[in-house]
Amino acid sequence: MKYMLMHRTNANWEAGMLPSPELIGRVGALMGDIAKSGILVAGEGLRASSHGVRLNFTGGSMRVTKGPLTPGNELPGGFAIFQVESIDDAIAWTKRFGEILGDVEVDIRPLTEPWDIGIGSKPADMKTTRYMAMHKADSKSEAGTPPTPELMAAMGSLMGEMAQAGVLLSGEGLAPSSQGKRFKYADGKRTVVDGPFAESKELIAGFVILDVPAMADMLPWADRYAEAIGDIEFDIRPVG
Amino acid sequence: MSASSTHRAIEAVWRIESAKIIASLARMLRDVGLAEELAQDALVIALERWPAAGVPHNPAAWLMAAAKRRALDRLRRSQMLERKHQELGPEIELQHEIATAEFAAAVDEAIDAGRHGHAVVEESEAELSDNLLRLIFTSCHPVLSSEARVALTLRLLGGLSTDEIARAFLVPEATVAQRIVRAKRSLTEAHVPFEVPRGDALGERLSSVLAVLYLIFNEGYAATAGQDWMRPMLCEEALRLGRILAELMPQEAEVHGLVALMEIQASRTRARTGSNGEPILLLEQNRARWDQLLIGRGLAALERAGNLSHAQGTHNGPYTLQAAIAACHARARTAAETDWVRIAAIYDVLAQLTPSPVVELNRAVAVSMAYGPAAGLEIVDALVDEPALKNYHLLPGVRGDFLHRLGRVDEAREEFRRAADLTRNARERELLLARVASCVGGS
Repeated sequence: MKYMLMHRTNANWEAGMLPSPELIGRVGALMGDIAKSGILVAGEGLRASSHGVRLNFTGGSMRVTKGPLTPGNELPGGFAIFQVESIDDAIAWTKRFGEILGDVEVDIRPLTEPWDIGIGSKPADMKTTRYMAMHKADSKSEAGTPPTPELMAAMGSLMGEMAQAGVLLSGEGLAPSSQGKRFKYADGKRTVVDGPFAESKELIAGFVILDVPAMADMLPWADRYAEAIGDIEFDIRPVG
Repeated sequence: MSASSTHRAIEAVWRIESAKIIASLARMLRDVGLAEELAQDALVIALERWPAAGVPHNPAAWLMAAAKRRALDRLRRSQMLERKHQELGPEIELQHEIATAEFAAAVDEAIDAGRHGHAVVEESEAELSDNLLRLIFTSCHPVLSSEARVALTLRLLGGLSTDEIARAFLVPEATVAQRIVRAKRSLTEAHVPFEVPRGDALGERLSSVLAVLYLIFNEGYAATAGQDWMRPMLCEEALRLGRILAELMPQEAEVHGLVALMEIQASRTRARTGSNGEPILLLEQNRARWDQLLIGRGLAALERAGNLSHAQGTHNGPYTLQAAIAACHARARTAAETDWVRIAAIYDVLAQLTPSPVVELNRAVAVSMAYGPAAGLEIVDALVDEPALKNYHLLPGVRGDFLHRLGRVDEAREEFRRAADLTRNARERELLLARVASCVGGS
């Protein structure tokens, strides 16, 4: 079973401040431990929302808002990660998603690469950037209504096309927030709230996806995560 | 936190930490069986104390320190230390004595510090890794039967209970418990050293480790009897142990090859069964349901395996080759776009490297897809008298398919019927009987 742990951003990161070498070191060590435990599926940071865009699909039309993004409905319903040459390409592919999904809000933000935080430099021959397109939950996805066979087929065909074009690195849906848990750490104390969550007020700053048998197995890692980052709030939701 | 959620939290920590704890204790005691018992003692103490006292700040360090103290008590009390000294000789004895004395002080300090939320004594990263590797190689030691290796690996490295292992393998719990007890005894009686093999021995022993992991994976992956969630868990566990091994032995190409193979196969889990639990064959699966994250990881691991083989001037091993075949399927957007010529070519190499009737049968399927059923039938016909495949339902199943495609319907029907008689899986039998019924016409 895969679980996604998403941590919230803060004003410093949103302002584009680079994480301190100590924080990078602590998070790096934690990621190393997760990898050594054999449960790491994916883990990424998201760049400040000023590097991103928000797409609103309503009645078949698409409105693009440039970042920085104002937090609104920050409960994701699922995501796709693209490897493309520009954010315009990411928007073009996401538009195809929007055409299938109907009315939906999608945020697109670049993933943080090592060179974005001052580690090494971008390889000269690398022309692409990785973007995460995160679509927001709605009443249907929150109700856990399974997609219609038509939608499944259309989505499957689009994902196949993306995979073929070599732009899709991953795409996953998240289980309704009723199956999730929200963790708040303040002064080293943990508070856990069971889903469903009405909404989240803060943008997401990063995530890890871990392969563990059950939600309870996420707890030790949640604690370690908070220990590495400091006071933090995050949601954990089953993937798929 | 309620008592039950504390229990669940302890189990979660145990799942992550138990292998390291057992490995460290085994290094101290030179006895894997005893190490496991004492580590279990530490778990029992935690289960007794934590629901009332609360989970300590650093539960992993607490468990490790408590387990080590048990081990040290045992060493002292049973005077096993003296016995060990006689076995080890005077020089090691001295080193051991110094290390033990320092260690004793350190553990006491650690337990003390543990109460205040800080762990002082910790083995270095490298020592922990080495101990874990020793535990992996010991659990998969050739002195043990294959069943014993599997059970011991799941118990010592996966942190699974005998009950969980028993449910996963659909055998009584007593059987698994017996298997584990005997396995531990065999290790002691054979004086298997708690070491990672070196030099020439390493290759063969590593093959044994990889075989055990793949056996566990396949046990979970094979069409299952029953709906128990424990069997898919075997896949996850094998994959997890494979990834751990890849972190511990990053220079071993075949470890990455096996991980790649398991990642890519696991990526199809969601697509392998229909809504009624019926198996869906690879070429008929809805590829949109394949897990792109796992495919991505698998392809990356395969690339690492290939690069390492290339850099070390060795040929790709059997797991890497099988992963390369799985990757061909993973890359194809539709079944029709599968690169069968490439798959057939990889099977040629695999068949030369590890000749076996089963590989040959798979090669026949790939060849038939690349070059037509007649070419496939030629390979399969050479296998008909193979004793190893005498009761293997896939042989008549595959042969029937080739005959059907060649329009030899009567012969095809016979083969499908034979296959249906041989399979032990009810759903597979249904599929085969449907194929029998589809063989209409002929004379």
